[in-house]
Amino acid sequence: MSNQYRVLGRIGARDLTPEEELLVTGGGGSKRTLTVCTSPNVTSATLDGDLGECA
Amino acid sequence: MKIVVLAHANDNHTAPIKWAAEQAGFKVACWGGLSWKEQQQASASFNGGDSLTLGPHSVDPGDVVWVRRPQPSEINPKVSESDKAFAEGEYRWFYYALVYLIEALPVRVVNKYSASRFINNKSVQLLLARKCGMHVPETLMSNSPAEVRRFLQQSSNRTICKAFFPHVWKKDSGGVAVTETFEIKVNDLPSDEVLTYAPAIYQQMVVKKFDVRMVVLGTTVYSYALHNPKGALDWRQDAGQGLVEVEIIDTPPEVEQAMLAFAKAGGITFGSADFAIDNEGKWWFLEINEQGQFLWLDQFNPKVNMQQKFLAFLTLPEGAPRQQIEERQSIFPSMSDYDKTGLHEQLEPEVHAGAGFISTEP
Repeated sequence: MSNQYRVLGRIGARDLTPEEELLVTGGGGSKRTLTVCTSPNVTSATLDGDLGECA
Repeated sequence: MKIVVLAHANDNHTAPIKWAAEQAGFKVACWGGLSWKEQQQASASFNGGDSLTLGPHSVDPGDVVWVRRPQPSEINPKVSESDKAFAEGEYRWFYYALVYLIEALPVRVVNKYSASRFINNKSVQLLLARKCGMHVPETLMSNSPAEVRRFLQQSSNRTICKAFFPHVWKKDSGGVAVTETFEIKVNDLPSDEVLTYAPAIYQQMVVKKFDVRMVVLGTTVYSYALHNPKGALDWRQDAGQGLVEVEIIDTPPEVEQAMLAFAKAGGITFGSADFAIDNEGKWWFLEINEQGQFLWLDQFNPKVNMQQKFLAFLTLPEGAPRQQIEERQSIFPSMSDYDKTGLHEQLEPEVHAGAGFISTEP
């Protein structure tokens, strides 16, 4: 990935562990309420109503 | 009285709350948001007797409406490309017509949509929090390189940078990256132009002893200390890996008073707030999410009983005191009771339209 023209927020972003990735990609089964914050996930992007708290 | 939840029934908080409410004898109606599909169609009529129906459910006087996770509207995919923009606009405005109408009906709403729009702005939060007597870190929100450099140069404290809203980057090669709070020094700043690519929040870092997650339930608040042995800047990182210990703690009276004043000023009765507690024991307000996740607290510490407290709060009249909430909470099953049912294993992943906050990168 080239860092040219990338936003500061991307430079400070964190790569998720495989387990965390399951949580934001809509998987995770029984651990789903362990999503302590609400990232917009890959199947459920946020728009009008679903407000994230991870920022 | 029934509980109307604006969220899909398989939302990770709606499912256990619905199950627990039904176990206690309450009727629960879930509506996932406006869509062309029959179960998500809606009608508002003003023919003498005003009425609102959301999918198969009517919203009736005396109901309590929990605005949990209303989803973006979904237009019929068959609509002509030439009319798509029109249809999207009409769906969007009809959606607003519905969610604002709910506030005008004789029902209790947690939280009012207008209040959620207002209080979810981090600028509003910091201003109100300080006005209500809370300690707030020095903060700059800006896309002006000169202002950003000035803020970092003049700050006598360490500084962090965070986004206004979470974002996910999917890598083509596999893997996912998410926005996260990170420390930034003036010498680390990129070129001025890069600072204009996206605005950001720059904030004094609170060197903290531990974090607190506070849940506001009407007239009272509950606070939980979050101890993360790794001491990550953002405790969510450790919590996601199950490394956080949740301890039930008392809220200092002046902090509770300030938070309740804040909630009143913001027009909300429910929310999850984050505080950093410094080495002197001072509570620093960081942010609030009026529909933040809260059931994970029960899973980290079963003595929290937040599912039961929330349901007691939701089914009592607005303004019910803490004592009534705690007297009532035992009529509802706990989160661990729900976990034992195995129902959570059967939840289908939520699938919704839209990907406005996801990027794909090569």
